[in-house]
Amino acid sequence: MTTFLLETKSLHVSIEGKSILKDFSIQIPKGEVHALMGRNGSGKTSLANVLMGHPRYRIDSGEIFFNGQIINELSPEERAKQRIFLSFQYPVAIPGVSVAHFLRTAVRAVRGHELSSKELRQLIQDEARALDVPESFMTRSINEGFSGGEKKKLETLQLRLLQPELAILDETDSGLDIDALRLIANRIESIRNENRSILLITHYQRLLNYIQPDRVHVMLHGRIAKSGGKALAKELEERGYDWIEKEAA
Amino acid sequence: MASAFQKSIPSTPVDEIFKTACENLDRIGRPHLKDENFKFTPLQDVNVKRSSSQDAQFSENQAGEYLPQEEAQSLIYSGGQVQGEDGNGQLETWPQFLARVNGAEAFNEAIYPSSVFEKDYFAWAALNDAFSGFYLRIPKDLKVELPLHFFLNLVGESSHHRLRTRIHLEEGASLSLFSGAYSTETTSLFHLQSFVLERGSTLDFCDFQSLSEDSRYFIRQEFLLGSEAKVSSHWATKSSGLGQIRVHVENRGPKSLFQGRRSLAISGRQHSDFWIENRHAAEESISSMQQWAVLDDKAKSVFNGLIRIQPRMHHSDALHKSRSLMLSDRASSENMPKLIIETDDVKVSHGASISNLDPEQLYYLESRGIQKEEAKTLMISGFLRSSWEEVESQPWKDFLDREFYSS
Repeated sequence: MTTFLLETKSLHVSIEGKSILKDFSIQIPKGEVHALMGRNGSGKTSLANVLMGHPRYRIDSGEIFFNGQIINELSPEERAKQRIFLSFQYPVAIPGVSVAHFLRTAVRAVRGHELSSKELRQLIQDEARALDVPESFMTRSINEGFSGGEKKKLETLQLRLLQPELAILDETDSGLDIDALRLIANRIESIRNENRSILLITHYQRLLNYIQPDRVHVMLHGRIAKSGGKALAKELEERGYDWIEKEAA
Repeated sequence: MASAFQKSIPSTPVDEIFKTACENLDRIGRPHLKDENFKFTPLQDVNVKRSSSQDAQFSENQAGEYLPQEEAQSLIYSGGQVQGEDGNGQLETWPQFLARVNGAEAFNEAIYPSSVFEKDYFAWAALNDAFSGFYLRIPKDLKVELPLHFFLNLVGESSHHRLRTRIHLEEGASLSLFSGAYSTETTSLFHLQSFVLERGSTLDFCDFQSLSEDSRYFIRQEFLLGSEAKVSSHWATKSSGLGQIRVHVENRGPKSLFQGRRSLAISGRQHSDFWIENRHAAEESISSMQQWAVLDDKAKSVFNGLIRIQPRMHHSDALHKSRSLMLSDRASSENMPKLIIETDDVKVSHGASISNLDPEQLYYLESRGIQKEEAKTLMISGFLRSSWEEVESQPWKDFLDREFYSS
């Protein structure tokens, strides 16, 4: 029997009275990478936030199972401690909070004291170097004055440090030049293992050249309209979304 | 038995004392300015003019006695004690001393409220009954390497502390000055300060208050900048009951630069006023004043800023900005910007923002496993820390981090 790391069942979600997800169901087995594609406004980022527990979204009905447990009522902090991670499409700036202090606080919060202070410092240093992040980055405030690429590097750095079981990557490839895309994609690909699943939200096939998905889902109007293998992503690149819309109708 | 010193502490209500102090300060003539060279009474003349009264004994040989040796080599002034006899022949001890290092001169006053000085020769002082204070002159081109620290530990329940200080930087001199006032008891602090900077001199100043919630402080400061003089001033108020800082800044010389910042974190029913006037009396002069305030419970902050550009002072550049982070619906922030611009071709701006904790920032931090309360503390500290990010002195930054993060 397949073990699902993440499973949503008939999820109906609204925000300020507006319906966002409608009967949304997905199953992601342990160790698999699933790509989620779809037009702008189809609900992909909303889904990511719902899975992470954003307080503005209201689950009207349906369940989210993580490792077999319903997590509908868990706060974002509790979900993070259960090893769910969201790489934000537009990470916010937090003035005055240094990246180094934030990373240490976050790793301690999620991973406890499994690393000594020295090991943690070394780990942060090594991971930053692997992402070509300069040392000066660490003393800057979180995302303040960062370029699009720098923001995505910081998100990826956190992904690497927090070692989640489920990584939700919301358009991690947007705003990246070719070299940065390759570098970040390789760092993501290298954390793949049989216990870790990735939900990859993207608009483009190019990211999937580096991170080969096991499944591709197409989202339309708050629900999954079509699922398939990795060939589906290529087909979408060539044909767009109209044909899926017609099929769904 | 109460000494003459103690007896002389007036029982006048605080507001009345403060009103008188302000009126006196307003009557002070501005230091004489001629061709951008400020003229003051030389220190030796001040010493000659000093009262011969035995009521005030100054112990110049105590310089550095209370400091670690390595600090005494470079510091000009720090905490210490001066001993002298009071009017009844009793030995009095009070916290001041004089140090003279590297050619710089400091003159401490530790005087009785009955005024042992003639009324007119301390041109900078508003009150003739100040309890203590000091005059500091940094001679031409002297760069003071280590920061000078001036700590006031205000003790005595319901006591009043009145100080007057004057810092004078001659041409090309530079100085870092940290002034800190602490109290856990109900006290009142009146501090009148004057900073005079001649051509090309540089002052890095940090003024910190951490007083009990029942205390009051009234600080009046004046900064006079000669040409190409630079001032970086940081005010930090962690707590106080009722407080007012009134600052007058005058860019008197071309290309002079004043950069002011303030961090404020108050709660309960605390009230803080910050009034500043930036007067541009020279061309191509620059000034900026920015405030970051965190207000909780029923705390209230008033930022009253006036930028005045005098006629013909072209290419002046001035900015006032106030940011308030409200942690309670009952806290309030008043921002009163005023601009008087009598010249074309200048750049002047002002702005104020009032906000609550950003829920998206909170969500971001929580999504990294950080508990809500800890995330809020991080955000608040971060907001305040933004105000001292540009402070050059790392020890001061560390000090402010410790003070505000531990709250």
